[in-house]
Amino acid sequence: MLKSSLLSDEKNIETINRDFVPVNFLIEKGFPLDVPVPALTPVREAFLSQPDFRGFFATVVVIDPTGTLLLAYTGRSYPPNYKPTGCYRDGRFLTNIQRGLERFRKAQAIQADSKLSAEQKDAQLAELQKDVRASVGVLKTLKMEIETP
Amino acid sequence: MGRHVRLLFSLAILLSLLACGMWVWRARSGPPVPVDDAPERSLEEIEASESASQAFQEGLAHEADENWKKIHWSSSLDAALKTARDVSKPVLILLSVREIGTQDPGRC
Repeated sequence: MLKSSLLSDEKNIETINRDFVPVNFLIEKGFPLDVPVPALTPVREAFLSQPDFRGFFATVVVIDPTGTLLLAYTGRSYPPNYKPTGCYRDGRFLTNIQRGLERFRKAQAIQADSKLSAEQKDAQLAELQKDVRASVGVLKTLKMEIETP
Repeated sequence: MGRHVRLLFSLAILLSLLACGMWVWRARSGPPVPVDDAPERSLEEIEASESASQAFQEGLAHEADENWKKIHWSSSLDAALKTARDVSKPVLILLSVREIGTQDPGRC
């Protein structure tokens, strides 16, 4: 119930419209992408790993404008109870997307740093995404069960 | 007398076979599988369970806050990435599967 809850919260809407370029991407069968977006590869792999997700899956992620960096993952919403779970609590959702914004600014600083070599930049950008990618990876091992909100 | 013994003996063997069969059947079926440990379900089964939950969904949708329409959604992922490069902002993506049986496919 993302749209009717977290994405209908005035504070969240204000933050999203001010700091992000929002888009609603409907996942079709096989999770095809019209344009190459490497940042979504971990999410795509996690989605395809769980057949139950084909029936129910919703999440919000933040990526950089080049489509290569996965900067935030906010958790997911799924049945059987249809309640927002995991990170889908007001404060945590906002915190997660704001962390995505912070990571974006750090990534910009890394990319603009002329003292760093290409390898050093790659290493720092990988480190920046490490936690987010690890959180998404958990989806692959997830058991579909009722969670306590 | 001998015939009675043979009859009783045959009956005992039959009962033993029956008991043995029951034991094997129970052992093979195992204890009831909890819902959370159930094996992966087919898409048809998933859709069926979603259908069962539809009344609950509709109840929530009825009272749903529709403020989300105030968000300045881009028309496509490609368009969002282009805009994001122009304005130097990150892209926030709501990823969701098409919902079955609802008017708004993006509702989730």
